[in-house]
Amino acid sequence: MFCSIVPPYLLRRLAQLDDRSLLPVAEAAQRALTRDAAMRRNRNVKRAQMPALPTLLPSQRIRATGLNPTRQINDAQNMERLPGIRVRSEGDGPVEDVAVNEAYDGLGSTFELFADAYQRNALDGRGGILRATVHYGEDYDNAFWNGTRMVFGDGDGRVFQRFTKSLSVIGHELTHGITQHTTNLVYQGQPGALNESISDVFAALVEQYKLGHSAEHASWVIGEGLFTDQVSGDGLRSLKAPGTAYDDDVLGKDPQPATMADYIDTTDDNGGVHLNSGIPNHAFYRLASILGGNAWERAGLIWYDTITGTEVVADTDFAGFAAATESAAESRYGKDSEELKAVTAAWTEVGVLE
Amino acid sequence: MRISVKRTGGFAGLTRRWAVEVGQPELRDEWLPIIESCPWDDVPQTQNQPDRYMYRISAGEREASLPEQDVTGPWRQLVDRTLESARQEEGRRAESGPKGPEGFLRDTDPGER
Repeated sequence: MFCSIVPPYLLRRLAQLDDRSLLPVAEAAQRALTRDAAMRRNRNVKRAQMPALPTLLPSQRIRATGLNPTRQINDAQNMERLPGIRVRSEGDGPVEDVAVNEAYDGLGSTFELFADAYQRNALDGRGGILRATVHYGEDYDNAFWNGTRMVFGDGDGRVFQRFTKSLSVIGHELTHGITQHTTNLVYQGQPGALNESISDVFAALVEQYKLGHSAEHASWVIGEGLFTDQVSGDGLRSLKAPGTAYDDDVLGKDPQPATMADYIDTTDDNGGVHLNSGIPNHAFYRLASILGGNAWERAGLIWYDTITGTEVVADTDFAGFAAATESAAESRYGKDSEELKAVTAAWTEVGVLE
Repeated sequence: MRISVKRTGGFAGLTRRWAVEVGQPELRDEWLPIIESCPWDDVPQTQNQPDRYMYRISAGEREASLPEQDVTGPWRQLVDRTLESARQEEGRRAESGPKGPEGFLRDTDPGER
């Protein structure tokens, strides 16, 4: 067994061994790295951030919550320097720059879902400022969460358009901020794939809530509208059918698995966090479609209860997360509820529960 | 010497690879000073920020993996130079050979796993 005495750089080396005969070593090192990262993380997590079981929310959604966002949009002016200059603050009217307005509006839509459906006041639950920077870098084909703000590139114009163009990208990045304030899942391996999946799930719900789409009518696609018309694809990921979002001569085919049978072991991408997220993504989709109606209501509430409860911690894996969603469904809807049965069925379909 | 960069992750989760084969005297004069100043055995253990890229950089026998935010200083120089050289090579190949559908995202290093 690997202990902390093995220096992380060595673990990292071992974890990346390509020699198949050394695979067990690589896997063990990977596990140790994940655990060490979790421990390092845990040391930094104030226990105060792990709240006691939340008191049950009213079963009916309250629309007029009286909660309002505080947004700040900055412009990196195509440099890789953060935060950039402030270009729009809360209450300011639209500006000429469409990326700034998309970021401002997208932050608002994301805030609304969490406030209206889950009575959550911003990322930290205390009305903290929502920060975004647009025009990061040159032809930058990415968007990310840096621990404080969401950051958007303009895309290269050939494959990707600007990353503010898709509301689901904004919802995804902001949800990383919520994860940071709740489960604080490490960004590696299965906990990392859960971190990614939680961002995709709530990103899809932000769009569905804004459009008024029920589970049956929603696209369940993340990153719709990001590709230029030269790319064959609807978007980057599909919760409904992972592995089918794009199939393009240049980009290749969407590599996401939908079930544990196709789980991908890799050291790339922090242990495949954007790949294996397809599995919990599909479990959420299955839950939402079994229950029917608006996915942000019962399915979304079970997921929200799960991430704000105490069962999921920094190094929780798929099975642990599945068990936590069952606990959340049972607490809210009861032991014999159709919601709990649907949760179990969804995780069983994707092969996480037997 | 073979120098390669593999970039994984990012919001899109797309993998890109670039590689160049550099001979003397270019290697000695232009590349080795950068390669030698990269701290190959002292890669920081930072956890990646959500949706940022992961880089796997190799030069000959040396290899390092690091998150995007740590690709600074000589690492960044090495990555930028590799990307630029790989693209120039790709451009030259595209001019002399048959035109592909879209050279932009094609891997310049299809041989690597």
